[in-house]
Amino acid sequence: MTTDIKRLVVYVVVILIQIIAGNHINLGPLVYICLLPILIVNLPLDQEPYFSILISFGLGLAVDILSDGVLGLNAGAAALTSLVSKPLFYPIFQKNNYSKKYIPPIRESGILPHINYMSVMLLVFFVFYIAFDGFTKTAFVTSVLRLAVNVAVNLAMILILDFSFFNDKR
Amino acid sequence: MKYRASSYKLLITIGVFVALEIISIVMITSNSILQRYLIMDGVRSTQVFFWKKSESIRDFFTLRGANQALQEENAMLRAKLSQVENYMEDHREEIETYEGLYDFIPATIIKNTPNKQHNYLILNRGSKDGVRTEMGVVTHNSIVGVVSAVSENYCYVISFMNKNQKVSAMISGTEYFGLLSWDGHSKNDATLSEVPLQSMAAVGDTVSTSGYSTIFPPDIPVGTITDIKEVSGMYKDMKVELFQEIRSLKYVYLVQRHDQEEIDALSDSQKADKQ
Repeated sequence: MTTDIKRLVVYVVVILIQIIAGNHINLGPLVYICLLPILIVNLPLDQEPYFSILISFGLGLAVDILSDGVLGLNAGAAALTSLVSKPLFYPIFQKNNYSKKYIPPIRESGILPHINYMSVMLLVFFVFYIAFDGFTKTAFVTSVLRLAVNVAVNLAMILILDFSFFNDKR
Repeated sequence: MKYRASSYKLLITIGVFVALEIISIVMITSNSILQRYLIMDGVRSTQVFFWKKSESIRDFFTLRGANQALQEENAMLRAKLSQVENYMEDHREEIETYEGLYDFIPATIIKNTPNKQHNYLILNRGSKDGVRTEMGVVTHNSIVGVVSAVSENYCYVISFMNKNQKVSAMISGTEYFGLLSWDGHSKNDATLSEVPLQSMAAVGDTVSTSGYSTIFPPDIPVGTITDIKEVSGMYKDMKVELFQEIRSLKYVYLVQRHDQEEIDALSDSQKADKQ
């Protein structure tokens, strides 16, 4: 199986996990399991940014439609995350001379750059998501708490997926 | 030349991004109307099909627990019925005034979103069963939500566990009432706000529906007070632990006053007179 087909299969599997988790795993009103950022950051780095944004938007919209979310919420957050993913990739990973096709796997770069990069991506994603899901001044503390909890929980899950699915040699 | 090409690419990227964000924000902000009546109409029909399938599988495995809960509720209702029959014997004339004031339609929850900020439910009753918007949804010990949209076979209910939902509730046995709303993060805690300062409520007192709106019948017990605090010397806010977790519900009742149309017509005519 070529790398691209492998990746396509992994994307389908992760989307399925996302939909099943979103619909059937209930961790309370504060936590929303979201694996989209791992798919967004693993899009090819050498493709045009607008194409990555379109793909990310499509992935988010697919999750919105197939799960019971508010239509547009994941899609908008995914597009924003995709926009900043490439500009933020270089400051975090640039000191090493990696191939630019995909972000380097954990086995090559070590876990720390991945933790930093994924944390920032999740932060961007959830700032949009929570802002449009029902941010109000009166619920400021709850919203900040949601942001922190979601970044922490999803970072753990995304690192597991990163290590399991995206750790092969490139 | 190279600079110009990269500028075009940047412009295209920004253009695509802005267009997609506008599309997503329009979808989000139109959630309550456009999503419900246009886009989501088709999507929901498909989703409902799959939800019903997955719910029937889940039902199979939870049938024993549901039966036990229904048996317990049945036993409790029989005991209450017996009490009510005795009461009715003693107060027949007084009660005849209110008899049959509400219609109850039993319904099953086929979709429940308990883990969001704007939760909703979908019930297996629609316009062909007599369901209309603004009907209340209750159980014997909880308020579940208010019907927001109705199709032929299903209705969409804004859950009580929705940050925008507020219900008039009172401290049982008193005349003091306030607005009961979900606190936005707990599984079964709510806040009874704006209760007059002179109310002598205590921790452990029961909170029930006030009946001051036409959506919910009066005197449905919903929870007990667990904490009271004074707000700015003006009124009291009370933390209420709900009797029933909405996320664990399966069977509910849609409720409507018999004379709802008459009340609506009266209210509409008053509004028209003011204009």
